Amino acid sequence: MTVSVPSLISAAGGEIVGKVRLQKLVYLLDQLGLQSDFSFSYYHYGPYSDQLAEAVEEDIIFRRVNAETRRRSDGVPFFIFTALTHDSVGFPPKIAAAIEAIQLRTATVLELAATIHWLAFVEKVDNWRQELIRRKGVKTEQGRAEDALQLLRELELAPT
Amino acid sequence: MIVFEDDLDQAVWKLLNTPEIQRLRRIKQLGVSEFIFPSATHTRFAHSIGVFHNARQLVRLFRREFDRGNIDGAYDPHRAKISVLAALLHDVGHGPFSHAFEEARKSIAGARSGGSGKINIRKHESFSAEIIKNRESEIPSILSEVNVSTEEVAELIEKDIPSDMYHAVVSSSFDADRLDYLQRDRYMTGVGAGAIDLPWLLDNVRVAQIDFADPGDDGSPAYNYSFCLSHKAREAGEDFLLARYRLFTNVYFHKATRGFEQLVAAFFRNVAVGAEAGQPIAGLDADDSLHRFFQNDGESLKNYLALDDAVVWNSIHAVARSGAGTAQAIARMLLARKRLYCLDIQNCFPDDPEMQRRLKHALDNQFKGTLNGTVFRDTAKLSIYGEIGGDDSRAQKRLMVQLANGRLKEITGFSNSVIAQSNTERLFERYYFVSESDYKSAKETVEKIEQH
Repeated sequence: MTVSVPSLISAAGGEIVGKVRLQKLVYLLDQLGLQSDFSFSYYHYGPYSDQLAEAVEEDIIFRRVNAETRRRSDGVPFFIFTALTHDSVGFPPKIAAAIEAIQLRTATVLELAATIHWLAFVEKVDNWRQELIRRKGVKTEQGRAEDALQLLRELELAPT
Repeated sequence: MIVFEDDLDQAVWKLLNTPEIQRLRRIKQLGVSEFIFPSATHTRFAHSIGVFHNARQLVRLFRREFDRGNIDGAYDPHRAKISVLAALLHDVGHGPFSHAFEEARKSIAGARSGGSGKINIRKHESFSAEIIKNRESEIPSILSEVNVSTEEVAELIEKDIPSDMYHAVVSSSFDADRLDYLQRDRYMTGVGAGAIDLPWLLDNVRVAQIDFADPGDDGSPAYNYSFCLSHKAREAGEDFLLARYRLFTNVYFHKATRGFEQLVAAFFRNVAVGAEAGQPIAGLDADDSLHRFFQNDGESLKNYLALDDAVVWNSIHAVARSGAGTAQAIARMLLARKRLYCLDIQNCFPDDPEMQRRLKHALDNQFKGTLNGTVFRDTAKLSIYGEIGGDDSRAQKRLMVQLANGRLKEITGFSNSVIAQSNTERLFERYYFVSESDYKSAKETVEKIEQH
């Protein structure tokens, strides 16, 4: 079953800020049994699904999702996704709780959390901590890597 | 003319003469683009020398910026040396037929993933890093002659985001790679669009702390030094991005080129299916390099380095001559430059995304049994920052303009920007057909959708 993006946005509080957040949300939820049916590959922001990106674009075209462009204080653009249709899809309590925990983190922390999971369980990198710092550099600083690992622990997805 | 002078240049000269870099002479920079632009026969080897040349120029900019007091601290000649060497070696891990080879490997990995939802392939940057660190090659000893470790060079090629300003030479909005291919690909294809004012751009490149955090995380920045552009060159910067955009629309995404890439990818897939099953491929020797690479556990460095365009063409010739079935038909089409029939979704319903989606679904349904066999679907997305292959444009590739007050602003964020519209995604979706009857059937579907 392909997951409904509007229902995910609704479950996430009505809006999802940024493509990275949306992608990593679905990736992490898939590891908890969401079964989105989307395939993920590693790109420069971590695990990414072009099928999910295509599904979101289609939701925008058929007005099931609105994508509004905003700009950061330095002018860098990003999207805010809101649901225009309100499915009554109820997610299992485990998924709903995970969405809540994920939404408390920044998108950069989600990128790190999804990348840790990918490195440890897909690429099977023994020293995934070192590899994370090597790939993500400054993004891992200021407690962000620790926060990502803490999120994975809360979701019971953390590698040992 | 590129002159090799000091110790670093002499090391570069030695590196150019290693078998690993000489292999790039046999890999064309633009793959099958020469089928459409006959003079675009330039190689990854020539490109790599150009990137090295640009990198030397860019590290001189750092000296200039330090001398002017625009950057805190002191110039680091060791880091500068690493970035120049990484620039030279950045493409050493490129496979044959570049884009088609990686796309084919991705689809092969997807088929082999057993529905896990995770497709894990090694990208060419990872092969580049392994080649640089390979103790069986001469590369490590040449690097050590100039007191540089293989790890230091490989790290710059593999990282997702820059580690410091010297890394910007290899990966940034003004990296040495981009400065070469924008000029080289335009010149060699002969396309008129896409001129850039390089001297003015280089004179106005600055170094500043740029926020690499996700833009939705306002208030939680992740700063690092990278290139930006003085406000005096904002227009030249717009032209620079537009030049790249035009190369994508006119050259890299040319519908005939993408069709030939689909054919090459289909040839790879056909070989891979047989190799994975442990079966001989009709027309290919048992020790054919391509066959060996696609076998289970065949993705070793040795097998990868054995591949180049010439080797693949040899396999194509062999299958065309003595092969069978679909693989032979594809090989013969490639040798005869026989184009696939192409249906362009965006051209069928210009500026009507709803109708484009309906057509796409109808075609997917109509050809679901033959997709990736005799019918191929090609999808690419483009923004002003180039092809979108991932969540977003890479943070370091964004072009930031330094205003007169020293603050930074992303170049499409100006209210009077002439390229702001191009920051939205433009889709390129094409269906390619081996048989004319399938193509005609698809055209009938277009008419039916139009009538409803």
